[in-house]
Amino acid sequence: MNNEGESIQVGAVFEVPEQVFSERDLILGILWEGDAQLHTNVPGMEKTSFGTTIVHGNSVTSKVIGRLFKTHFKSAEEITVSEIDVAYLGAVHVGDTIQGKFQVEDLESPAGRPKKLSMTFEVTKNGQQVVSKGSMRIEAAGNR
Amino acid sequence: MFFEDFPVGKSGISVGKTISLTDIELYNEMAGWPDSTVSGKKAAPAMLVTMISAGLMTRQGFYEGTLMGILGNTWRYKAPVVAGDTLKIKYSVSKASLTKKGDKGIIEFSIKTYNQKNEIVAECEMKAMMRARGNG
Repeated sequence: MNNEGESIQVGAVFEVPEQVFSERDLILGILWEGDAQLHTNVPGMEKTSFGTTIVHGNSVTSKVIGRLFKTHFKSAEEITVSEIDVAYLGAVHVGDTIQGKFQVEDLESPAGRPKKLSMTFEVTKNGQQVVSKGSMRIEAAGNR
Repeated sequence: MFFEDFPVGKSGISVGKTISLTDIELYNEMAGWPDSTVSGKKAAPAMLVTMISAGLMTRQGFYEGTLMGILGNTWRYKAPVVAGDTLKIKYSVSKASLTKKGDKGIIEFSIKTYNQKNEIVAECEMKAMMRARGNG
């Protein structure tokens, strides 16, 4: 189901490669979520503790989970996400580098049916600050 | 609107947004989620449903400018969403707590996302930090 050579078992840790959060990513977040004040009003946000505009937390979560699927589950035939829980602990700005680390907390492998995984994750920016923590439940059907 | 304008029980319904193939393609370009189909139609990734639902909340127009940040959310996905589906959200305020300093508060929204058949496709609890009135 996941990449060759990796085993999915409780306790397994999957680190995903770093990604730079781009202005294009921010603009796409605006397309779906909006909120011009927090995300595009530079002078307005200079007056806040953030210092400048911030990116959408859901875009950050999207990118790290997408990279997890692409790098560690690329041979899965189908992935269904049933739950995502995220706590946002810090702001991310355009140009920041984000990286995700996932750990398998629970695993069910019913015969002939997709595997059910519960995973926790945390996202770090610029290799230093944890900006979000969360968990998710997925079902992954695969050929492994 | 400010924290005080969100008493527990306040509720509302959004307009609808139809999910296009382009929405899904642009999302997958940004986030790199794998393609998925349901009954031959391209499926919307779960987090795109989250982002569009969050956007329908923003488009209520009641917290842009006074929203200080989303602290967290829990989304449960109940049914597939495919290109061509039209989503709307219903929200209600389930909890509201002013901080000790009194200049801001945390509002917990309960959000349900429906498709055009009025089926619930996702539901969420979301915590938002809002400015309180008089904070300047």
